[in-house]
Amino acid sequence: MSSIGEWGRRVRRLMSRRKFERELQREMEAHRDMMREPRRFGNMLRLREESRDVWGWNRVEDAYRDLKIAARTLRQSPGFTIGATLVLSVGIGLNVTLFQIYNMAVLQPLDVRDPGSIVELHRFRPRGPIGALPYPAIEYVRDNNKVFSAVLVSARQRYVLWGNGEERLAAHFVSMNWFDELGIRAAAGRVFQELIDGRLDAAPVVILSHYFWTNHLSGDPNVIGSTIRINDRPATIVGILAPDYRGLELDDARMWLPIEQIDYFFPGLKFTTAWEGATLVKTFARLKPGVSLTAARESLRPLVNELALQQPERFLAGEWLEPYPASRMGYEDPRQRRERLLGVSGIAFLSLLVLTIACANLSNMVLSRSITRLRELNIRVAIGAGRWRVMRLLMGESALLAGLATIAAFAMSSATLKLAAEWIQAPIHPATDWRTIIAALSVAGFAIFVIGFLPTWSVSRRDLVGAIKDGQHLSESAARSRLRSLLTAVQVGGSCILLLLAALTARDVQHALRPGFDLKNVAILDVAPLAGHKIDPTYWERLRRAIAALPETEAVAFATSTPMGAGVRSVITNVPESPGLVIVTNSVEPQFFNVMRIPIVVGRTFEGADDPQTTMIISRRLAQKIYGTLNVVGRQFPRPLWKSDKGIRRTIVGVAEDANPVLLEFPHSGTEYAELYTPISSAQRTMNTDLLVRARSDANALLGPMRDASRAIDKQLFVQARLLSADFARQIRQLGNLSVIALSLAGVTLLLACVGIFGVMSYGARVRRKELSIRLAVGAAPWRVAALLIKDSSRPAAAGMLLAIALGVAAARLLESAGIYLGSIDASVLISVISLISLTCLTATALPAIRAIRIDIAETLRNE
Amino acid sequence: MPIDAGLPPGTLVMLILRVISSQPLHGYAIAQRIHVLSGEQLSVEEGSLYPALQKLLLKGWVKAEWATSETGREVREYRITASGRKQLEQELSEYQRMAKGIETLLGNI
Repeated sequence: MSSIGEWGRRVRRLMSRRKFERELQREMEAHRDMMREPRRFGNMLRLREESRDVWGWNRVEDAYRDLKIAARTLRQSPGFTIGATLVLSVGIGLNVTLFQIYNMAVLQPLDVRDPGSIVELHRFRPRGPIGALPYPAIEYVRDNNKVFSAVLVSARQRYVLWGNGEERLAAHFVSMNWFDELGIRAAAGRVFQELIDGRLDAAPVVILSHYFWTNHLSGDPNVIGSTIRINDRPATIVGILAPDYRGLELDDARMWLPIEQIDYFFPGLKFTTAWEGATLVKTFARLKPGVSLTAARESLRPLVNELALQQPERFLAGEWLEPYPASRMGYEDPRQRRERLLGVSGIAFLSLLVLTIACANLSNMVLSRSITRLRELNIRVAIGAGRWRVMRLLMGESALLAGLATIAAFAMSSATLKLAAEWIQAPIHPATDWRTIIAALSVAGFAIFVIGFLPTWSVSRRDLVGAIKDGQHLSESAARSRLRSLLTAVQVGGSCILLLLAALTARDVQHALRPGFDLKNVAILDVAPLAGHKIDPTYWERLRRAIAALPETEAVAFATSTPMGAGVRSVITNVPESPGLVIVTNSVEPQFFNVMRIPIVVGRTFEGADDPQTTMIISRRLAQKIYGTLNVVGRQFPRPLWKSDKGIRRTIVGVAEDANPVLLEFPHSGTEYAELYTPISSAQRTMNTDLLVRARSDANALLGPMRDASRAIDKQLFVQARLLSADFARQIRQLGNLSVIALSLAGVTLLLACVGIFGVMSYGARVRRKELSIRLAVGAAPWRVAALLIKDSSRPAAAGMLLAIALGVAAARLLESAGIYLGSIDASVLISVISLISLTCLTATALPAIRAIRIDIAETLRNE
Repeated sequence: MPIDAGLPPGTLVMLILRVISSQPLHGYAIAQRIHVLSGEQLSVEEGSLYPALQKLLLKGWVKAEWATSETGREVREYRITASGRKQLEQELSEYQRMAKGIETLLGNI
C-alpha cells in the first residue's frame, strides 16, 4: 500500500517528469563514462524505461501520448474531424437534450423547501379518483387534521383579463402560505403575507412572474406598489418572482393572486364558500415529521366521513383522501403511467437510433482509416507493440472525437432548450446536474464503443505481423469484413425505421391539412363570460343581428364548439352500433353548414321549426358506419344521445359531408372521428358559445367591428375575435413541427447512410483494383464486374432494410395493442419507403462501381 | 525487476542502503562499493541498480542530489534518510534471522 508521502512523490515526479527524465539521462551517462567497459552498461533507453516503470505513471503517460498522437492525426484530416464531430454531436446532443427535458419534468426533485414532505391530496371513491375538493372542504381538512403542518391550495385559472382586457393570461390563485411554506422568496417586492394580505379588509394584491415582468412591463422596478386592473378590478403589484421559480407545477402562469380574493376578481363566483367542486383546484400539504403516507390517509378518513355527514350530496361515505408524494407529473393512473412510459421509451429509442446510425457511419469511416494505416500498425507490432497497445492507439482518436462531440452536444442542447423556452415562453432553466452528466457520459461511452472499440477490435484481431508480407490481402479481407456489413445494415435499417415514421407523420399532416370545411374567411367571436358575470338574455340575439348587419358579413351561426378550437368538445364514445368511432357532437344553428361550407349530401340542414330535442344531422362516415348507406333521412338514431333527451331517439334530417373538426394528435390513439350535429337550443346559446361568421372577402376586416358590436351591447363583457385559419395554424403547428423534425432526421440519417455506403463501396473497389483488373483483363464483361461490386454491398443494405421493416411493423402492432397508434403501415407507405431507400442505396453503390470498371487495366496491373 | 545472478534475491535494496549508510554515493560508486566490499563476490548490474534506486527514491528511503566527484564530474549522489535507516535495520534483522535459520537447518542435516 502506498503511503501519502509516496503519492506526494509520485505526483511531484509526474509534474516535473521532463526534469526527472533529463536528470536520469545525465546520471546514467556519467555512470557509463566512468565504467571501464562502457558497452557493458546496456541499452540506456530500456533502462530509463524500466526506471520510469517504478513510478507507476506509465498508463497515464501512455494514454496522454496516445491522445497526443490522436490529436495530431485528427489535425491532419480536418475535414474528417469536423464532419465526424458534427455528426456525433448531433447524435449525442439529441439524446442529451431529450434527457434534460425528461430530467426537468420528472427526475429532478421539486424546487421547494423540503420537497420530500410535500404531498398532493387526491379524492378517491372506491371506483377511482374523482374531481377536486371544494374549497370549504379544504378549509375543513386544514383546520381539523392532525397530520399536516400546513395545507396549501392552488387554483389555476386558464385566464384572467389583464389591463383593458386585451390580454388573457393564465393565473394561479394560491393560499396565503404558498410561498412561505415552499421557501420561495420574491426577486423584488414581497410574497403574500398572512398578517397583511389575510385580513378581511386587505387590499387586493398580485405577484407577477419574472417572465411577464421583463417581457410585458420591460422589467420596470417601479411597477411594485402600482395598481393595475385584473378582470377589470384594481389590484396592487406587491412582488416579482425569481426567474427560475417553478413551484410545484411546470406551467405558463403569469401571475399569482391570493385564493381568498378569488371571489373579488370573479364577482359572483363564490369559490370560497361553494361546495360545488371547482375543477382546477389542487390541494397540497406538508406532512408533519415522522408521519407516513398511510398514517396520513387513515387519519384523514374520519374527516372525510364527517364531510359526508355534513354534505351528503357532495361526499359519499367510504370516500377518502389519498396523499401522493408531490411531483411535477401529478397523479397518474396505471394506464396514464403506462402510456407515458411507453411514449418516453419510444422517444428514447428513436433518439438512440439516430445516435446509433451516426455512430455506425463513423465506425465505418474509422474502420477504413484504420485499414489505410495497416502498414503503420504492422511496423508498430513488429517493434513490439502488443494488441492492446495498437487498440489503444486507434481508440485514442475515437475517444477524442467523442469528447469533442460531447462538449459540442452540451452547447447544442443548452442552446436548443433556451430557444424552446423562449418559444413556449416557459421558465425553463436547464441545470447540468449529475444525472445529465452521467447520461451524457453513458451516451459518449456508447459512441466510443461503436466508433472506437468495434473497428479497432476488428483490425487488431488480424494477424498484423503476418500482414507485413501480404498487406494487400489483408486490406481486402478487412474491407469485406463482417463488421462492415453489419454497420451498413444498421445504417440502412435505422434510416428505414426513421423514414417509416416520418412517412406516417407526413401522412397525418396531409390528412390534417385537408379539413372537410373551408377555413378561409371565417372569423370567430369567442364570448367567454367571466364566472359570475350575468349576460343579458337578449345579448345573443342582438349580437347576431348587429354582426349580420355588417357589410362584410355573408353568414352568421352560433355553435357550441368551434372546429379546431382548443375548447372542450362533447364526444360520445359508447354507441355500440359504431364501435371504435368517437362521435364529436356540436350544437349548431342552421346557417352553420353554410358558414363552414360543409355540404349537406342528403336531406336538408336544420330549419327553424326543428325541435332541438328530437332532430339531428349526422356525417357521411357515421351514416356509413351505422347504416351502411347514406339514405338515412327520416330514420331514428339507434339510441338517445344524452340523459337530457329523456329516452327520445332523434330523427335524422340530413347527412353532412365529413368535416374532420378534430386535429389528429401524433402519436394518436387510432381513433376515428365522426360528426353529429343537433340544433342549438336557446338554453345552450346562453352558455359558452362561439359565433362563427363568414366574410364576403376578408375576415380580417370583421374582427374589429365584431368586437365593437359586442362592446356596444355589453361593455362589461370581454370577447375575443380571431380567425379560424389562425386557430387551425396554431393547432397544426405542433404536428407540422413534428413532421418536419421527423422528416429532416430521416433525411439526414438516410444521407449519412448513403455517404457511408458510398465510402465503403469506393474503398472496397480501390483495394480490389488488382482483382477487378484481372477479371477485366481475362475478358469479364464490365457490367458483370460492376454487378459483382454492387451485389457485395447491396446484400447488407437489403438485409438491414427488410429487418427494419419487419421490426417496424411488429413494433407498430405492439404499440397499437398498448394503446399508441402510429397509423397503419399500409402498402403505399411501405412501397414509397422501400423504393426511396433502394433508389438512394443503389445510387450510392452504382457510382463507385461504374468508376471501378473504368480503370486502366494495364496501368493498374503494372503498379500493383 | 530482473534479479542478478550475482546477488541473493531480495537483497539489493538492503545492500544499497548499507553501502550508502556511511556516506552519500553516486550510482557507479554504489555498484563498485558492493563489488569491492563483498570481496568481489557480488556484482550489481546497471539494469537492476537504477530501477532499485528509483524505488528507494519513491519510498523516500534515500534522497538524491547533484555533487561534484573527486574526478571533477557532476554526479548524482544518493543519501540515506531517517526512514531509510529504519528500513535498513529492519531488513538487516530480517536477513540475519533468515540466514540464521538457513544455517541452523544446514548444520542439522
